[in-house]
Amino acid sequence: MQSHYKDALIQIITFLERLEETHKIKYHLVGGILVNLYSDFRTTRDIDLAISFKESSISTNDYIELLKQNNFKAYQDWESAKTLAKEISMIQFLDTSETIRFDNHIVVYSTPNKYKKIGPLSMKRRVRATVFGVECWVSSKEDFILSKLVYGGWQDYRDALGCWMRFKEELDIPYLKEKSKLLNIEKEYTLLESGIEDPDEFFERLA
Amino acid sequence: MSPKTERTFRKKVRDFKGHIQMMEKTPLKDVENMFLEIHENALQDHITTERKRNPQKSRKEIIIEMYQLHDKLKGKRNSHAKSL
Repeated sequence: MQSHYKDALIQIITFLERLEETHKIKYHLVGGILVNLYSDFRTTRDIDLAISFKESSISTNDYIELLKQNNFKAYQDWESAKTLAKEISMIQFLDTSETIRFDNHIVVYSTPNKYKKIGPLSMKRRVRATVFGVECWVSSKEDFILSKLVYGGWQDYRDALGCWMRFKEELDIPYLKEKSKLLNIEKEYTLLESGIEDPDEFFERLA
Repeated sequence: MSPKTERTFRKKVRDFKGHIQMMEKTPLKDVENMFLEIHENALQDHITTERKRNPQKSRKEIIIEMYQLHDKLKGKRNSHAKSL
């Protein structure tokens, strides 16, 4: 059975692995694509990833040009993609078959924005994993939990809770404690540690 | 059903702890194959249905609208806490 999702993943990982070698752009997968690896089963339609230009000499616009040259397709049009990249540090585009959307977050360093603060932390601790049979860089379990607690939707809490329940014995607890303070999510993290086992209860206790 | 009874019912039906235990015992490859199958079937169903309903729409328009709906629903799921 053909899978547009897996085909799109192979396309983007092949592209980004090559860019790491040639242009020193660093990447890792984040978000829903990691839920099956780290938490409970659920599906997602898009592929979230984060990239860092910190060690690279190329600009966001150069990167968008490379996407075009490699046959990735604009979600709306490439000019809008450039504008959005400047405004919200995210590039949205489609795979070569114009079916799967990539939400490409650009890591921002030195920001007061709590949603953006997680980017550099997660990039620094990225790990190698095999996702849908493809070896690639992904967010660590700890940073997966922290980002889910920062975003704070019902589904995010469910994903974080699932990861905690599955892997609590092997997580880096001092790191989680320290960074939850930095990200202002101590309340959420303390609740996670309390032994709670249901997403609805998690929400009720935070309300 | 009172809100408290509904919450208890949701908790039992969801059995989140049981799901997590099952995930621990299920090979990742099986979970990922299930994901890919569900994803592809849902995608093809969506495109087929939308083409029947709106034959004038291009495939790309259908895909973009699908993501717009996905984003909208994601926002709704994330505001679920307010309803509890």
